[in-house]
Amino acid sequence: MSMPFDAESRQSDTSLLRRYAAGDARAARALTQRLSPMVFRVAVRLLGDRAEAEDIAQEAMLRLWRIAPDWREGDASVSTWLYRVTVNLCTDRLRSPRSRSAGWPDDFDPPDDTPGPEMRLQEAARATALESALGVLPERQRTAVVLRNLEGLSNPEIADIMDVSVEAVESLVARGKRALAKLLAKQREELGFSDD
Amino acid sequence: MTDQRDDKKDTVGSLDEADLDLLFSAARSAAPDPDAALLARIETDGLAEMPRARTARLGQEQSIASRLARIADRLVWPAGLSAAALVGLWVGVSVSPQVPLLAEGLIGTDLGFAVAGLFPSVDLVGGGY
Repeated sequence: MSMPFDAESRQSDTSLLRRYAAGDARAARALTQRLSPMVFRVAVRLLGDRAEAEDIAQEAMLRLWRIAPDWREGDASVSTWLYRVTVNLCTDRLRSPRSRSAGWPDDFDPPDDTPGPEMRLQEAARATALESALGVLPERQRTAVVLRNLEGLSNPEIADIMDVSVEAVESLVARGKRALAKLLAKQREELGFSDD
Repeated sequence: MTDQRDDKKDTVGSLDEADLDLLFSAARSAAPDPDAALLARIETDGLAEMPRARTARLGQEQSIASRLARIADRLVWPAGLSAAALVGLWVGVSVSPQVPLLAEGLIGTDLGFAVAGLFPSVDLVGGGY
């Protein structure tokens, strides 16, 4: 995504949040452009539903706007705080009886915005297969794997977000990856691994 | 920091670590992006919740309250003025040397002598003081 706000793009999240709290509208726009994609991406991967992920993204960002005046320098990083809020909101949504995405079907096919020939490309097939398999993982394993292997966070960061020990994160990630390997084994050939 | 090296030793199954890495890489490349409408909604929320905007809203509420207070003042002020006018009139009437009613009441009394002593210019009608 392009970032047309050069002055803002060089600033840290905390600086932007401070400017936002001081009433700077450009900071609101910069924070929206910078942080919303991350929140939305995680929510889609945890919930498997774009519409629900949009609700979560809007709610998580609303909480950020509201906490901005009280944000302290010594607090967690803005992105870590936002990951935590997003994960908690998704967890609540998944545990809610009215959740549309609670219990992903085995043949879950993630929403696809670009149907057609492109989807036959191997990369897209792999991405689709992985996201389908993620939906089958237990909630906490899925969260740990998404944060570790798709968002690229460190284990201590994930431990902070999920409020568990680093050892628990390691265990969740390892078990999650083992489960993914087994779930995707039967698609090995169609994912193009037989020739690797 | 415990990193991916630690994850690798735990991964077993029909797909190996390298296969999984390729799958994760493909998924990262195909990351879902929010559409423009969602970004616009989030930014709108941000502007509405911005402290200055909230202050302005608060100010607006206070402005309404102060306007009500001014209206109340206007209602109360004539009443206060009327009361003050009545008191002033009463005082004026009370000390006016031209009011026979009062003078008559004072003539020949100790108070009348005292008033005449204190205010020689006061002409108590018919009093000759």
